[in-house]
Amino acid sequence: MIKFNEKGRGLLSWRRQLIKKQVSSLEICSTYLKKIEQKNGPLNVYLTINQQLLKEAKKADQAISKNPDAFKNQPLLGLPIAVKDNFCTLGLATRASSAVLKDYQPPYESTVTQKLKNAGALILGKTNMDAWAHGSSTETSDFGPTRNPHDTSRTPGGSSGGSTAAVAADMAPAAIGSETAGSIRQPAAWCGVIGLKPTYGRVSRWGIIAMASSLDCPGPLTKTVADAALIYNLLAGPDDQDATTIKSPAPKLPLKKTLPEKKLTIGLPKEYFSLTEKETSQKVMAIANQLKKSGHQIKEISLLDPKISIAVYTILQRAEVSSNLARYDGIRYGQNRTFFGLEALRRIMLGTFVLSAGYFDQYYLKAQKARTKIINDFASTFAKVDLILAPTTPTTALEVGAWKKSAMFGEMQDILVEGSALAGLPAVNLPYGLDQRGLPIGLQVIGPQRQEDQIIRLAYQIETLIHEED
Amino acid sequence: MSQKRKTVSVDHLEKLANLKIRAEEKAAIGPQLEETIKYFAILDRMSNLEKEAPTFQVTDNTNIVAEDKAQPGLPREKILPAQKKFFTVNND
Repeated sequence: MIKFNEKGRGLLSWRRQLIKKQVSSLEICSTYLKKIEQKNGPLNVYLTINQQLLKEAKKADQAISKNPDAFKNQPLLGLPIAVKDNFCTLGLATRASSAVLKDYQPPYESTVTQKLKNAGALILGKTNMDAWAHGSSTETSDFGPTRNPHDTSRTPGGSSGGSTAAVAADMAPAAIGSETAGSIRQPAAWCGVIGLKPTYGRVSRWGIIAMASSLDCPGPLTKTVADAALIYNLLAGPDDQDATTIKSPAPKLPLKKTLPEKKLTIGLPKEYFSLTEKETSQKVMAIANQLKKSGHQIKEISLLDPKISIAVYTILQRAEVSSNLARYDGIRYGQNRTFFGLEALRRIMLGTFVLSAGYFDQYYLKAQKARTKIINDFASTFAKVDLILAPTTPTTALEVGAWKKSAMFGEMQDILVEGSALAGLPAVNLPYGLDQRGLPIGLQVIGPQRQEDQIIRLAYQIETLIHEED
Repeated sequence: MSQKRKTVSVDHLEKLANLKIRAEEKAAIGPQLEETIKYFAILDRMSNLEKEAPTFQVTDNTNIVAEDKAQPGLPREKILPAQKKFFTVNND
């Protein structure tokens, strides 16, 4: 089998080379275009390539040669980045991998991509995803499934599977994804990359094709913790265009390895470990033991049954989907409603059901009440521990085709991430080696709302521990 | 909750959601919806759920209003292809 996965350089690594004039933006971009040409056929990672990329790279090179301090104002100047297909981008097709939007050219730019462009970043292209972000394997895409670079018979996870595969196959130095409940962390775990899901409202949703608005959360997918912090710092902050963004400014995360300020109490939720394959559980326990040796306190904790989160999430997400997809009526966005794929139909129907007369109290309202319980459960846990450490997914990457066998496939793969998503908590997936099948294992650090700084510091420490082992 | 509920009417939901679903997809969706809805019964096992306040917004943002100031709209030349002066709608 051909090996598609490749470590490659991240953003900060390229930037150091750019500053030293050891490479040009044009050379960096050409390298990635070449890799994309070689790998995109078998992996199906990109749906659209930015045809203006090399022109934009030349412009960036001119800006760098004119002003050596240009990176101070534009920290990503001349650096390419991949963007998930659900972010509106002027001049680049935006389809959310759905046939309904196959001809859609957005008339405006999403806040996330605008901020990236303002920072000097160049968009490589738009990456494949589950259609409308409905799924956890990138197989519900109307443009064919993406394959996992570690094993092409397997899925990369989803819904941001194109973005995570792009980073894992070194078809981009970094990428942007979005998570409703797991869509950053789960594919990051299955592809072996870093995925940071910020606190709900930290990063603007303006210009993202909406899935479940009370949960949707954009975030970075990267090769290093520092790159994730770099992108987060550029994206986080209030936005007048999105009334749900947190009004206070987001504190900047450290871009150099910075350890936690104090010894932490780290909770290991026993329910999460008992749902996980042995090999993954053992790996996460091994990291916990190493953290203990470095002085942190490790504590077993108990969280609400994750199956409750699945029920709550399924009800709320389907309800919000049925409302958000109502706008695709064939008048305002091109194709009519017969173009919805099977997964979108299933979700719209279920959402319509839980919101329909006579069932609202029984399902939707009950789920919102249970959501309060989940939030309170995490709050009382964070009164006892600073952060939570757990496996990200119950299994490593599954084979292509697995999703069709279950109506709740996605939810089962996301069982360890849905609770924290419902509570709007920030979390990061960190890759930790491979299992016996050669597939990446992921672990996650979850923190209280607005505590990205604590999470990133512990992530730096774990990243260092993992590197020391290599 | 499942005792009181009748079987889901796929036809009714199709109409409510303004969808047109092919017969073979309909046959598959019905049982899948039933399976998923049955799963929701797990919520009935939670104690004192009735007393909880529902959460609609997780970061406690309330009454967010925009400044009452006119903003420029999207320029026509940007949102329409150069040769067009207005939107056309397919009537199929």
